[in-house]
Amino acid sequence: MQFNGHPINKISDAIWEIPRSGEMTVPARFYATEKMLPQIFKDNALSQLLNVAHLPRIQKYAMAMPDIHYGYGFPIGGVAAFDVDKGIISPGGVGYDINCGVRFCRTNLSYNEISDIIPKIVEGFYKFVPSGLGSSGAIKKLNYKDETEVMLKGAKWAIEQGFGEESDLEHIENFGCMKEANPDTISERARQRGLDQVGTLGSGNHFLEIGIIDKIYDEQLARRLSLEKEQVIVMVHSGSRGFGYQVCDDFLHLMVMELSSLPYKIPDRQLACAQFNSELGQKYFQAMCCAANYAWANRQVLMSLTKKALIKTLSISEEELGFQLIYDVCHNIAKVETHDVNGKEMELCVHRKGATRAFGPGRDELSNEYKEIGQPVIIPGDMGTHSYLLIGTDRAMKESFGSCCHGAGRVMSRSKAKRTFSFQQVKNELQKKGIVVYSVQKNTLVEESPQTYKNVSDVVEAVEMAGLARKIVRTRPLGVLKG
Amino acid sequence: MNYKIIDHTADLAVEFYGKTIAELFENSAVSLSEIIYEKKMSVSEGRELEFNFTSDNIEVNYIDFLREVLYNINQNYYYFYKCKATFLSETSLSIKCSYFKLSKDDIRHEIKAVTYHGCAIKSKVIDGHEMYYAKVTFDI
Repeated sequence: MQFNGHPINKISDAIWEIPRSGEMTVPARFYATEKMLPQIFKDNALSQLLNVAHLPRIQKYAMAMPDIHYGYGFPIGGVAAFDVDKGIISPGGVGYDINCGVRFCRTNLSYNEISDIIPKIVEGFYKFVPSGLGSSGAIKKLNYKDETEVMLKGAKWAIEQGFGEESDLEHIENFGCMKEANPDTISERARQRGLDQVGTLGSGNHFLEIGIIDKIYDEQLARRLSLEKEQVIVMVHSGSRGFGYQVCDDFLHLMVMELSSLPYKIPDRQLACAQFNSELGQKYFQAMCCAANYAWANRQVLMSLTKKALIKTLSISEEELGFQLIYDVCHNIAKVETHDVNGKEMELCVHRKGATRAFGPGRDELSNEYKEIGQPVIIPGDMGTHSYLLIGTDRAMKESFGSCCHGAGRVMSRSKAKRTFSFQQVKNELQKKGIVVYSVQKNTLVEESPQTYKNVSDVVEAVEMAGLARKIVRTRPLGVLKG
Repeated sequence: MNYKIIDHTADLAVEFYGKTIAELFENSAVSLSEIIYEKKMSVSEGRELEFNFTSDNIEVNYIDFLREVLYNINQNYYYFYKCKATFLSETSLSIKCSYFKLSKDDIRHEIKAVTYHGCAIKSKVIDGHEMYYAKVTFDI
């Protein structure tokens, strides 16, 4: 088997490798079942993965998760780790929507209690949660002092403002804050863009979903997380909004301007980078941490608004609702982590772009609740199909720097979706499946129609076959709010 | 034809055209406004913004210009309806763009960012005329 003249070796039923050749620094590895390969080849995302494999000081492999698809610079679903001493950091390896991520929440409700009022619930989401293009206004416009606090404290800032509980922090990757954040690295433009977007969903693939658990794979873990069949759950997907886009844009530009002074060649300007320990590399990392914290504050407010919407719509008490965050994971981020590289413990800057951390048991980074069992991993499907909650594994620590995929992965362009489907057609199809959808923009609903994504169950199957995570439960959507 | 939308799995790719490189710059800013607001508009008297860029690389100047245009659309809701690009030297140019202000509610498509991914300014013959073109990938 070949891709653009490169041989592809089968390592196992779900692991494939393109050996190092030419100027590649390391081999490229991707995770997929055999039946997923034609789509992956057609999409040409592997050419982007090969570009990543050329970057200096990349360790072990340039990796892509089963939801790999064509992006820009790095492929979506890409994971790459560089040693922190002489390796690099790349804004293009993190992406524009820094710490775009998803959270999974449980409730005390069961399907029977809400099955008749899903439209009312989705309408309640729309009323309480600002969504859509350039959405704003969930909370009072921040001043610079408040915005600095958001950058420094992340989710904790939102909790201090009354959005959620202190205990939520135990259920958020990094406890909702990256300590390396330095607001002095943030441009005036990024500050301006961030003033009125905390607590807003945005548009594109961001969503708010209410669903139910329809299948349990691991009874013991499900019980431990207080999850059961027919139970109502909520997922929130959003990121750092215009603030994060501007941070990425600012630093990518600075790194592009410095490209000619680097001692190595980069195969694509979008992969522009700086040595992690250089002044520019550190400034970007500190600014990226500010944006990551902004995103955690954003999702914390969004979750709290969602909870409020449910309490009001259902006219029940907080105790009756029993709303509880299970976990919040990042999709677009670079982090300093220690991993085993060929038998040697190394401090690495791990880039995950459209990929999720999936730490197995025993890692110090996990809260006490998850240290013993590993980290929950959330893999949402498209709005017309299932989503999965999994758990990180030891195998992921050895195989993929403790990483897993972040979703189903797109297969169809937005422009083709608009040529192929109409708004009413997509809405009707979802209605037939009993899914109520409210979309602020008609375009968004069509662009995000279920047919534009891979089958999430195939993706999750590849994840399990490769041993990157283990399924706990599957959910089914009942109502979705799209931006 | 000043632009054409190209299929891109996750984001948005657009090919922009111009009879000269200067016109490519001019058309790209106006076309980007048309795409985001999903309408073609003009006024008799707008305001003017001047952008200046210097880089050894024309593509870097081009993408940096589009970054500025996009920032002003996303943050200030400007609609750019006319631009005039002047090359001051091989590596430096000035672009004066006429605009008027719309509102957040007029935006139809959110574009997060302009990427540098694979951008190259080239020429080809289209309908018997030599045209300059550049394919740009936008994050959405």
